[in-house]
Amino acid sequence: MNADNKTISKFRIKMAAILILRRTLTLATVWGLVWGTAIIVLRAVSGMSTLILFSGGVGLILAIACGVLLALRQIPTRTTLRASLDKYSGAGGLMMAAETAELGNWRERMPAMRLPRLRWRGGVAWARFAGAALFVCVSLLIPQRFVEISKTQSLDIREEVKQLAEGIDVLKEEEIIGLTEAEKLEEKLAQLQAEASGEDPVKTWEALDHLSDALMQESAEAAQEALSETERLTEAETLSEGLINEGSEMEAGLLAESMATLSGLVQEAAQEDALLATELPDLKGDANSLTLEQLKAISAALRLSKSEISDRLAKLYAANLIDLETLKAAERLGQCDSEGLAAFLAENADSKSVAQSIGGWCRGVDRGPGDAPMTWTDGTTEEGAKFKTEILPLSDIASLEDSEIVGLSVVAPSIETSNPTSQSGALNGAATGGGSSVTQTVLPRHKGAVKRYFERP
Amino acid sequence: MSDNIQSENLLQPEELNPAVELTEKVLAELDHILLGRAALHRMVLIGILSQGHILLEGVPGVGKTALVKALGQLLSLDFNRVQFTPDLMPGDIVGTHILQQTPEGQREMSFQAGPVFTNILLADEINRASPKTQSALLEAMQERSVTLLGNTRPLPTPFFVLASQNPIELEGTYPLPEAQLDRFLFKLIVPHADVDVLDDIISTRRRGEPPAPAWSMSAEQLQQLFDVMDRIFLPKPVSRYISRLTAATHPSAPESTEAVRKYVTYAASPRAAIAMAEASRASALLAGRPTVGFEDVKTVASSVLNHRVILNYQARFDGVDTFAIVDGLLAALDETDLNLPDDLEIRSA
Repeated sequence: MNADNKTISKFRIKMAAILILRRTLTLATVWGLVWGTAIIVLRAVSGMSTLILFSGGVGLILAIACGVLLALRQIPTRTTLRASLDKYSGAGGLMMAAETAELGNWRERMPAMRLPRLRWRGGVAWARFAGAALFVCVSLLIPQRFVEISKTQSLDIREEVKQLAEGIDVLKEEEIIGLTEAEKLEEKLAQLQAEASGEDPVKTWEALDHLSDALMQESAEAAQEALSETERLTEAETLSEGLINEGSEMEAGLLAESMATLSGLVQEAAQEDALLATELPDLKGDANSLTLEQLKAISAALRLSKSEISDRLAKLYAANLIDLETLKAAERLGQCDSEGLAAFLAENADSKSVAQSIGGWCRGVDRGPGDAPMTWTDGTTEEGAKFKTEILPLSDIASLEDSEIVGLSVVAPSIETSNPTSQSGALNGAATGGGSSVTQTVLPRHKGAVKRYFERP
Repeated sequence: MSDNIQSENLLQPEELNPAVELTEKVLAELDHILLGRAALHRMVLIGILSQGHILLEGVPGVGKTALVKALGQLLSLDFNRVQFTPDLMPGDIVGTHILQQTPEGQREMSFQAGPVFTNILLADEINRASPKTQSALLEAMQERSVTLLGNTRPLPTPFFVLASQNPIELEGTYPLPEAQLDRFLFKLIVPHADVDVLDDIISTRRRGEPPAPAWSMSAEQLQQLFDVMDRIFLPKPVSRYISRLTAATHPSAPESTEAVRKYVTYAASPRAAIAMAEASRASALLAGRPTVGFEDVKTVASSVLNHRVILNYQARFDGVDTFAIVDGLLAALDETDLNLPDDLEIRSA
């Protein structure tokens, strides 16, 4: 009896261990998932320290304790285990009877009590537990920035801000806007970026558009000035080149006027262009008599100044502040050939000044500004106009009721004065009093219809 | 009979062995008389030891009547055979009162006992009699007595009804009512003999006539077997298993299988559980054990339950029979009621 009880106890302990492990693992897995989720939520919402969140491990101990308690309730009774051992030992009920009866001589014949094998397919449970443990570790170790939930969802306008900042830098660098204004724009842009919210993106986009429009406006004005400057410098450069290459062929008076005009143009441009002012040679003295060296220096200074303007426009274009058309216009305005200028000036010397001629030479002949004066005369009236009344013949009107439109014409309708007879009807061609008869031609299909009418049942 | 008394006096080997030898002798004689029916003989003897009635079902010519006759000869018991026909009346079975003249010259009604007053009643083709006649056996089978005109007369002890029925030629037959079916301990299917058995029969038996038994058991020996049967110990887990198995035949039972819920209309009665316990005891005795094991229950469960579980028409459509239902229950139900989780299993060492 004692041996039986020992075997049963051993079997019971073995089964209890497996049941406890199984139940504990399940509850620990559940707790792991709950704990990991709580860690992530708390870190995301309140940014709680992971050290504090480690205290959730206490729950694991509770889960294990609960698992043990539940498993202990699940352990079969000794009677049930005895029955199970009886079954797997093939004792045929003797082992079960031994609980309440003395076996006597049957004990020697009873088969040895064999512990059956307990097999737990715990692979899935272990995998789930490992997953839960991994989840807890990840939720504890994941950097705070990945779990933080921003209170307001920001709008990603980094690309637009970068582009506008580049534009401001270009405008500042080219001195198109002042430093103070540039700083204001930069502050505004920074504020815009900081306050960009996904909850109200329209507001942000409108502010960005407004800022962009302001930059474009400044750029457009600067580009327009640059175009005018380029045009003026090109005229001066063309005149200086013409004087260098063809000055010897010019009359003295025209030459003097041309040189005076060039001096005037250059000095006027130098007042607004610092670079040109520094690069220009000394033009003190008689403005009507420039030396070849002075002319060459003037030409070089003008080219340098034009190049500087061209570079400025290129930067504006690169910053998307002006369009390609403006850039091409500047290029077009910067080109003017001086060959044949002397003859042109001489030809127009009587009617135009050199300043006017050089403008026409570079810009060419165009259609003018187009501002032709509009003259207004008295309006037309129908007073005094007479229309002839025509009464259309009745037959024509009657025939219109059955008419079909075969076309429309803008010409006046033709009116026939004759009164034609009717061409249709059964009595067409018949005359009275002559005793004549009317011959009606009946078509074959009509014959068939009549025949069918009389043959009907 | 009390389990408490049993528990103090477990049948010892020296007490059990003579009974076991007797059963082995009976089985050996039966196997000698009727060839190739060892399993059937074993179940019939279990039924006899359980003092239960047995319904044998089989096509004509498979040896049902021969088996019963051989059993009657072996057990040295009175044996009557009634051929059930549609015009058989209850009085033809239980007996009737007839008017007789006494030696004194007076006339009185005297009881003429019917064939039921015997130890072994062979009710041949029982399903051919009308329900009225079939019902005449109800009291005899359950109470082992006959009541006629207010007088109850006990039947001889022991009393067994061994009925046979033919599963074919169903025209003009009356299927046994459930109440009567329930009174049969077993319904045993008598199968066809295989080729080797047939060869043995026709080569060793002239005109197929079985040999007369060389030995027969006396009434005292049979009583001795019944006494031993009373002392076969039924452990509590086994009786619990029998109860669970019987209850599981109910579609609404928590341990019933999907097949039971789908196909069973009427489940086994408490009489089935009692019959299973008795038959299990007899099985243990045949196995030479003083205690009933789970394997004994499994041995007899199908024969006890197959005629008590009534299936619906869906089962007929799906070709499911009671044997499949009971086999499914035996496979699904854990004998020891350990209620282990699905991922935990016990295997033999």
